[in-house]
Amino acid sequence: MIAHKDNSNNARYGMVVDIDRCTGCGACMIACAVENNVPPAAPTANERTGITPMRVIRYEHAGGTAFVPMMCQQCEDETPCAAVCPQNAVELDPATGIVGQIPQRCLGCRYCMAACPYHARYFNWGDPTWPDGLEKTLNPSVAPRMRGVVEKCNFCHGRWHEAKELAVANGKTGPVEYTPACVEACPSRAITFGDLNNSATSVNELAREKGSFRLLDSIGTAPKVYYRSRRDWVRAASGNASGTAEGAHRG
Amino acid sequence: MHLEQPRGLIVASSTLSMRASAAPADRELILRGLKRCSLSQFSLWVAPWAVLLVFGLYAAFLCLARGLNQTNMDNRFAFGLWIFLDLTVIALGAGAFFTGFLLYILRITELRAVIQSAVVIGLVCYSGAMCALAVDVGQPLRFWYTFAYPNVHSMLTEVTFCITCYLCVLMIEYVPQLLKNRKLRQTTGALVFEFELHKVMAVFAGVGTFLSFFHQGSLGGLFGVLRGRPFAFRDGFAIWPSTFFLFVLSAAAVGPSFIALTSGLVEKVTGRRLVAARVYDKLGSISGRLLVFYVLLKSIDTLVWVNQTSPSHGFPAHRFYQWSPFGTWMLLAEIILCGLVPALILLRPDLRAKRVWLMSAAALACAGVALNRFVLTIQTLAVPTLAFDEFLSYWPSWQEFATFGAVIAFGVLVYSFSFRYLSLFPQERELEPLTNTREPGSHRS
Amino acid sequence: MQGGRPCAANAATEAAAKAIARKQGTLAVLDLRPGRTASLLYRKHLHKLGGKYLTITPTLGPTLQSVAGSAAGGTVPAFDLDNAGILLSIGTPVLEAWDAPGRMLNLARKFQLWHAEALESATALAAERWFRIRPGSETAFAAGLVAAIDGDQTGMRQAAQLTGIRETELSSAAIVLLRMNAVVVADTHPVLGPPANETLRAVACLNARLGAIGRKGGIVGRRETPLPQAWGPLAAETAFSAAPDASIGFLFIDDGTPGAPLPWKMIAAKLAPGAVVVTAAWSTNGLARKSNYALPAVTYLEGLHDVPTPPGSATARFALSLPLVPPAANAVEPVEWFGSLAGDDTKLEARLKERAGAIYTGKRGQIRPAAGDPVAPASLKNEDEFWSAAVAGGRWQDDSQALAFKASVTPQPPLQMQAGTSKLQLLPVAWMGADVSPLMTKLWVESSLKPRAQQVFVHPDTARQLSLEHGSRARIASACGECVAEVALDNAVQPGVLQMVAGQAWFALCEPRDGAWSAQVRKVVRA
Repeated sequence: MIAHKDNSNNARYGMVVDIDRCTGCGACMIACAVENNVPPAAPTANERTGITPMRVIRYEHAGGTAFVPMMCQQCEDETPCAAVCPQNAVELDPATGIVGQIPQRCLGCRYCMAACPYHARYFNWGDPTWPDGLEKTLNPSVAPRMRGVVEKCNFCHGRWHEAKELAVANGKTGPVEYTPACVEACPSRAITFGDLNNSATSVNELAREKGSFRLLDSIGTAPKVYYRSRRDWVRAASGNASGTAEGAHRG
Repeated sequence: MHLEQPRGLIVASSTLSMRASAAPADRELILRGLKRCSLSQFSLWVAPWAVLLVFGLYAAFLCLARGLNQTNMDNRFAFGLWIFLDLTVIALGAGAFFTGFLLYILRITELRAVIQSAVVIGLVCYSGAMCALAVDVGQPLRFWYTFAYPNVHSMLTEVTFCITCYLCVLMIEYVPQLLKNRKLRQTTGALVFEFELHKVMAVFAGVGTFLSFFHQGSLGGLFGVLRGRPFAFRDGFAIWPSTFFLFVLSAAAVGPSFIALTSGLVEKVTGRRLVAARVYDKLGSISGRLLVFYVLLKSIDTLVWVNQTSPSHGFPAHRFYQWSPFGTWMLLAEIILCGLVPALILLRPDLRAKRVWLMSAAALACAGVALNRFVLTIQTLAVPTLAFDEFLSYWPSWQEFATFGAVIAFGVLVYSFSFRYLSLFPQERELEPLTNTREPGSHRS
Repeated sequence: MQGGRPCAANAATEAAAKAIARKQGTLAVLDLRPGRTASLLYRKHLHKLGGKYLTITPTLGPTLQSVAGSAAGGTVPAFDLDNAGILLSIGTPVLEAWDAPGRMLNLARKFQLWHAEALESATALAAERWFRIRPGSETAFAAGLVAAIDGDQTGMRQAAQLTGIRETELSSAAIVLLRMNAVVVADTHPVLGPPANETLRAVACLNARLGAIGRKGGIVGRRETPLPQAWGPLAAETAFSAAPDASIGFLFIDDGTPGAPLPWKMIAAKLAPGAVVVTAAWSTNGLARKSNYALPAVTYLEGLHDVPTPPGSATARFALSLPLVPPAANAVEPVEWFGSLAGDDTKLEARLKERAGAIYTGKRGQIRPAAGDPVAPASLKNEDEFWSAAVAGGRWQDDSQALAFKASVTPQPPLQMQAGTSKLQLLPVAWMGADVSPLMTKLWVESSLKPRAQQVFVHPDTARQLSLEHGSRARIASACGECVAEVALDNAVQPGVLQMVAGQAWFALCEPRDGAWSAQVRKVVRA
């Protein structure tokens, strides 16, 4: 499942997240917001209407507590969101394997959000605003999103573009290496990123290793984000909702 | 055949029914041979709905001007009251297309008595749903992108195409009724246009039927294709999940019930007999037979989903029903109470001959289809998918309720004006012949 | 002019000069980030002015300070974590805010991290072994291990009762600790405050029992980073709690993490009537809010600063933190401002250069550039070349050389194991960073990763006993104050424990006890 899908010169960027190394510090969430020009919370925002393309979820279980960084899982097969978008605002890029969201084309119908089993998509419920002065910190390589459109993690596509441009300028073709903001910010190096098509990358190796799993593998969406844990109960959580009311407090 | 009207309804009946004292200009617009209440009574009836409409328009304006943060929807509950409303009114509005299908294609001529009313109901349901959708999407000005850059694999593209086309068909079907208006008939051009339109109406009915069958199905498909939501995901036939066919069937089954229900309601409110009893009987029997078929297929579908589809995706179906308050009672209420029970009532000629039974059964059937749409929209979003998800609930904001109210008010207003100034029930003249002996105020009809 | 709003530097200078001239009460500096070159400069200036240098957390950290008896001149105790087998942390945020977190996360791969804490902190979750002790039983836990080593059955039974850790577990842990070259730490939490003195005594005793003091991989002697001879004598370091009440006439606070470590009432108790307090901070959310003058300070990444040697390093270090962005127009370097009071207008950068010169002259250790091989100072031409290497990101590190070190530890355990007096325990939760950026809303508004300040977390069973529901409001009264907080149910909280973010609500409830901060819950009712 991790091996080459084709013999072309395409990349399949993927991630391996070591849940055991995540301390829930949230540095990745802040780094993501800074890199991708996600505005601070609107006055009315809450944990259900806020925009956190990278979101660390605290999972409490009888066996202990685990922190699960959740972002777009970049589904490869039957990509749920891309299949349902009525106006092609979501596309799976064959050159990178990244599921792209094109805000300028988005109608804001939110059908893709209903389709995503990972709840990794976020809607701009209001106009994005930055406190005075903070607009100076905006990243010029990423366009901020307007009100009324959906957004999500795109593996820091702005950084991919920069890496690609640099490679082209140096006369190189084919997949490029780059690092998304969350990977860079994680102090415990819980996230590994790279090209799954390239057998030399550590992400490829880690994804194959014992203890690596994908979330909701059973529904057949083939995510390119893998998780790892030594703890049995964490690996067991890769399946579905337990369906019991225990642990329903606080998320 | 005369129906007994309870006395208690006289107050209500006085609002819309005939009065000799309508204002002259208003009287000229009312068709000959029909009696309508006074303009002041009509205004009294219309006023609260107009207030509700204006209030709802204000709420909708807030949503458009400030963004959807005016609603209580959120990233998990990306769909809320409005989508539920849209799905439900479109299912109920299916009475229009299905009556057209029965009348023009299957030639069940009794239904000519309700076709005009059905077209108006269809029109208000569809246009109301479109208005609600325009508020619901984040960037309404980009609606045309779906036509310019369609993703042909998306069920929503199918829905958008079909609903837009069908709304046009409904408008075209509504035009001849408008043209029956006394004032408009004074124009020769209008008469010619109406004559020409009549010749092609069957074509539009056919096109409308096709489009309608298709988008009812696509609306069902919207949720049935959601691989990521095992609660809604269904296997199916070719590219269509089973919900595609179930939506078509449920809409067709409930459509006649809704026509019967609304006709009965209009009769009660106006205090006039508008539709012959045999037409009610026909609507009831059609609805009953289709409903039995629907309940059978829905049960099979549920069993297949419980035993095969859901477990094969790693989700034992019983777990979806462990989240209070959405227990198995919802499923039972949908299939038994609001499906099988009305079907059995409607299948028995003796029971459906009694108005109370017929109306109760029709109301139950309509409630059943609403519950089905609720389950697919709201329950699908509420139940968790990941192990570390929570079960979430949502309660709409006043802006959502007000916009909802505006859609209802819009429907009532369009229908009220259509009823007053157009001929929605051709049998009205037969059933309520104009006599001058009737005293004003005793509108026992 | 009052705190809460940033003031101009000259206004603060004027007020400070007046307060010093009045000569009522002591002149003092409270340094909340000791160990920097700036800290040494405060001590130099204070020696000249005749003031006191106060710290909440001693420069060495409480654990090392408690054993730092007879160290030879220029030698201080340090943890030798590079060679440790197990680091047993008692309530110390080893992976979050102790030493350099990134360094610790990497080092933690070499030794085993054992952690004893009542709270489910990030360190607790990432530790190899987490002893979930009852709140307030840190002393009993350390004493229990001492008892296990001594074979004292009574002590172990008592400790087991107080901590909730079984006797068998204590004794098996003690055996592994003895065998595995273990060292114990109980240091100040930057948000929750210092450990109790009783706990420190127990930890010192445990370290002695484990043979960790003076042993490789335990607590060893470390040479200090060289100091320029010309700086002369420095004022002694005094614990803030040791300053007499109502004694300080002028207080300057160098606030590192505004809003974090101590309640204002603790400072207010030490102030003489009419005292003037100037706080230098980059945010008015902390102590600056209550001070007479809030001096906008040049902060991290805005100025050229040095990085203190982390407590877990057995060798002295010197590295620079370089400015990346220009400071705000009205911001001042706190130590330069204070220096001007002592008539010393030398810039901090010049002082850092002097110190780098002293290191170069000492000819010890190596400088490790950001890229490339380490270089010995002797192979560099002059001081300037050494300075250029440091500014380019080079880090100087002393030769690793374990020094003889004799600690002042009383071997017998004079330990009292006391149970908490109230049935309900109130525990503060550390959550730093709400001030740092508006984007922090991602963590505590737009997700529920971090708790909100006015929330109290309780176990569902405890909530049921107190008739509290999720989302309801609770009025919590302690011996010294009360607050109202929103109730959140959390299975991760121990039964009988109330957890709240260490903020204003917590500060209202807590009081100093034996060097630490704790709150005795009197009553919890639904508000």
